[in-house]
Amino acid sequence: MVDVSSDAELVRRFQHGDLAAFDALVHRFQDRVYRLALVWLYDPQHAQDASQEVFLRAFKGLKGFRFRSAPFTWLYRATRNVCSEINRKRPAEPLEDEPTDPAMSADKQIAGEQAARWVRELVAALPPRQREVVVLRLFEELSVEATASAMGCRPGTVKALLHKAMHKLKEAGHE
Amino acid sequence: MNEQEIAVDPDSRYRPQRSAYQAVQAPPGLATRIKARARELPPSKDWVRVWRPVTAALAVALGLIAVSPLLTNKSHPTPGTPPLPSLTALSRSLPTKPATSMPSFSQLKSVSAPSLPARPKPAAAEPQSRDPGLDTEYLFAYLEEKHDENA
Repeated sequence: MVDVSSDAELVRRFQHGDLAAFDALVHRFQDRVYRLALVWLYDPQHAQDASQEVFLRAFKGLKGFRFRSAPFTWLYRATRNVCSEINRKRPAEPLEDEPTDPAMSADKQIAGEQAARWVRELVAALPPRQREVVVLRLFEELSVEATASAMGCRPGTVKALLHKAMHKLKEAGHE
Repeated sequence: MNEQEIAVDPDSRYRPQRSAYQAVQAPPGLATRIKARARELPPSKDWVRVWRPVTAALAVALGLIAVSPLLTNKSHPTPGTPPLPSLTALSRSLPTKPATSMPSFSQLKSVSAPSLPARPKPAAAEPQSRDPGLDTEYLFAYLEEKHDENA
C-alpha cells in the first residue's frame, strides 16, 4: 500500500514512534538513494551497502530532524557522507570491473549499470561540486533551491557551478 | 519528493539518458533488509534528549540561586535567620589584656639612662714608619744651607 503522506509528515509520524512511516520512507527513497550511491561508487554491491547504511543512519538520526530542510536533503547528505567514507576505505576500482549483483534480474541490472555508467562517465571529468550539481540538477531533476539546500550552498552558486559544468562538458564533446 | 522540488527540465539534451538513469531501481529485497536491520538496532537513548534540557535548566536555576545573594543587597535579614551580633557585643566578647598605667612626665624625667659600660678607648695609633731613604727635614736643612752659602 502506497503512503501518500508528504515526506515531512512521514518523518513526523516516525518521530512519534510509527515504524510504518519509516518503512514508507524507505520505499519512497530507496531508488534515489541507490542511484546516487551507484553513481558515486559505481559498484552495485557497495551501492546496496551504502543505501542500507544511509537508512540505518536515518532510523537513528531522523528522530532529531528539525525540519529546517527537506527530508531528502538529509538523506542526500547522508548518502554523500557514506559514499565518501566507502571511497576512502576502498582502493580505486576501474570502471570495467564492476561486480555483478545476483539479486537483480539480468535486464534490470544491465540497464541500471549502463545508465549509472553513462552518468558516471559524463561527470567523471568534473570537479566534485560540479559533479554533484549535474547529478542533482540534470538527472535527479531537483530545483535550483533544492539542489542548493542539498549541497549546502546558495542558489546562485548552483547556477554558477552548473554553467561551468556545462561549459566543461561542451569542451569535452558531450554536447 | 515534494511536488515543489520537481524542476522544469533544465536541459532537454540529456532527456534519454536521464530517463535511463531514473529507471534504475534499488535491488529487490533491499527495503526488506533495511527494515529488518533497523528493527534490530538498539533503542535510541530518548531519555538523553529529554533530560538534556531538564539538566540544563536545573544547572541554570542552581547558578541563579548561588549568585542571587551577590546580586541583591539585602539590608534586612530574612525571617527565620538569626540576627547578626552587634560590633559592641563582639568587642565585649573578645578577651581583654590587663590594663597598664602610663608613667607620668615627672617620672619619666627622673629616669636616668642606664649606666653603660665604659667605651673602650681606641688603641694608640702606631707611629708611621718613616721611610729611611727619604728624610724631608734633613733635605730641607741641607737645601737651606746650600741656599745660604750661595747667597
